[in-house]
Amino acid sequence: MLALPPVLSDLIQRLSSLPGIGPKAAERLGLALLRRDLHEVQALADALLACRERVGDCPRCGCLSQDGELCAVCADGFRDGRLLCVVETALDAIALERGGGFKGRYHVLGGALSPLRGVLPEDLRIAQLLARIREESTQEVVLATNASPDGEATALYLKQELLALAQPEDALQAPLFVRITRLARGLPSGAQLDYADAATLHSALEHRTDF
Amino acid sequence: MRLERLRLKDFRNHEQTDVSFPPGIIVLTGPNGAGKSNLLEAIHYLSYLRSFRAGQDREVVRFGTPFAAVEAKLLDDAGRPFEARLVLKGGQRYVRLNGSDVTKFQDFIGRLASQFFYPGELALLTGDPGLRREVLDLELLRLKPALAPVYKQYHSALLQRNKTLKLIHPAPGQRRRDSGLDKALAAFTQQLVSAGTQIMRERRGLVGVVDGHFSPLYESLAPPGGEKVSLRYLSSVELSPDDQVAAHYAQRLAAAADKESTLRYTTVGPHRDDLGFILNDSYDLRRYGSQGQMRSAVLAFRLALCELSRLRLSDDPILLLDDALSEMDDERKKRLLKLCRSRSQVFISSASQREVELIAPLASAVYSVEQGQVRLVKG
Ligand SMILES: Nc1ncnc2c1ncn2[C@@H]1O[C@H](COP(=O)(O)OP(=O)(O)OP(=O)(O)O)[C@@H](O)[C@H]1O
Ligand SMILES: [Mg+2]
Ligand SMILES: [Zn+2]
Repeated sequence: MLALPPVLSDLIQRLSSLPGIGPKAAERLGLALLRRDLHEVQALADALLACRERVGDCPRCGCLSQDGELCAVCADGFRDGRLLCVVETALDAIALERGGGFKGRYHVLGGALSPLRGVLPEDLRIAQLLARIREESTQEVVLATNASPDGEATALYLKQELLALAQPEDALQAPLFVRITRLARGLPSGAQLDYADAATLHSALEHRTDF
Repeated sequence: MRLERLRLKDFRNHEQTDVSFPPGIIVLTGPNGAGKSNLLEAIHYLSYLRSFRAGQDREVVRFGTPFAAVEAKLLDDAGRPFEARLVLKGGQRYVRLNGSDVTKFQDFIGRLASQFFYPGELALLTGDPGLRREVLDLELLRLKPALAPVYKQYHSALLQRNKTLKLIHPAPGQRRRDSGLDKALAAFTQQLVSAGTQIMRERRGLVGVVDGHFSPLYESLAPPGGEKVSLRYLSSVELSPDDQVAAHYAQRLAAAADKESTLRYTTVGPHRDDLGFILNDSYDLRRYGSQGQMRSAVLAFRLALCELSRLRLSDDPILLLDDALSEMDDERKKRLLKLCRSRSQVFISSASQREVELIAPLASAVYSVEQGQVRLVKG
């Protein structure tokens, strides 16, 4: 077998450690980079570094943001600050944004409750969520955790915390009443009934709405 | 459901078997160790993706060969043909349905509907309650696939709740973490109660329906004027009135809090329930029944599940009776055969020539099995 120059095989190995890139694709990418102009490769390297160094969590909601500033949604003055959507990860917020139509802001928990996997309430950004609700006079919290067992349990946990806001332990704090909602579960749009699985149909019927 | 053709490759002592079967009663005869049970086990494998004998997948691969394969051509009761194939190789299972790979085994199990009975099956009655819960759950999921996520929720809530109990009540010398644990416990309890209530109510409903078929079937197996046996769902939670089940369940859990703080696991719920076989409305058949009565009860239970599937899913499962007649008196044998005549397809294995002579007049075909070779002798 022809041995590759050590720096090239090093690059290929690093590329193939990325998600979705197998050894074959890594090889093709590595070889393609060799044939690019030097300044283009330099630009790619700069972009990689800049992203790694400058992109982080939004200090308020936990979504992705740049240079430690507020993310685009938090900075957007036209958003309805009284409506807060709680998601497990920043990716979930991106998915909801792609769906469009949501006018409120987000709060990223950083995962779902799972003592089995070592994730306890204190490991999630729940204290920050409660502080935000007080500061931002939130009226409605949309619990948009996943429909998985862990996501469901997380929603049940948060519901208790939100209900407790109405009876603060600290006598000096005003009681807060927030509306608590949960994402509906049902048929994907455009779906054909006879192709939907039984569980989806069941839940779509259960969560049917007035028409 | 009907098995039209079965092909085995290196499955136990069947090096190369290829047989076609008619509907009705099918007899497999041959000396001990011939491969009769192995053939029934192969059908069971394709149905449940595991053996009816305890043990591991690799045990069924013929000695000294790399893999075993079971291939079947089937016809469901609506007359739709389908093909299923299972390959067991290196501890892995590969399943195909109508030529496409199956990745979610859960969706495949029960596609080839079958019920079975073999002498060791008395364990269903005398063994761990987990066995009986498993049979009920398998049947429920076949009848109502929409329950799958409910079971998933329950299972997850149970494990998470047990873990949370252990964190709240740490072993001596360990430190307790976190202040939100009580609310986490409450969240998992709610999840447990909501999913668990559904499961218990569904199981209770199922047992009621199965019992409707079971009791008369048992009676037609037992001698006239004999004992009565019925099925009952034995729950750790009071199941009536219907709209109070969740409240009862939550109360039982609350009352068990002290106990659970020392045991550190969940003590109430569907994972602790059982299916009871009740003799003359008041006694546990497991304790007071004779061998013959218990045997009849398990057979009647399997037949009742066939009947349920026939009525609800329009699919009469293939009945696999391995050595089921031995140890039965002649009267019971005749009564069982009479019940078998109304089923779509029944396989009966027997090593006894006398037994075969008893069944043969009712059978649509008789096969002899010898050293893993199957041959049609009548039909
Ligand atoms: N993995 C295997 N490879 C080869 N032969 C096997 C394997 N497993 C079991 N056998 C053989 O299969 C035979 C048992 O077959 P089986 O249990 O089907 O007999 P049977 O016809 O039901 O007999 P009986 O009348 O005693 O119940 C034994 O001879 C055993 O050695
Ligand atoms: Mg046998
Ligand atoms: Zn933000």
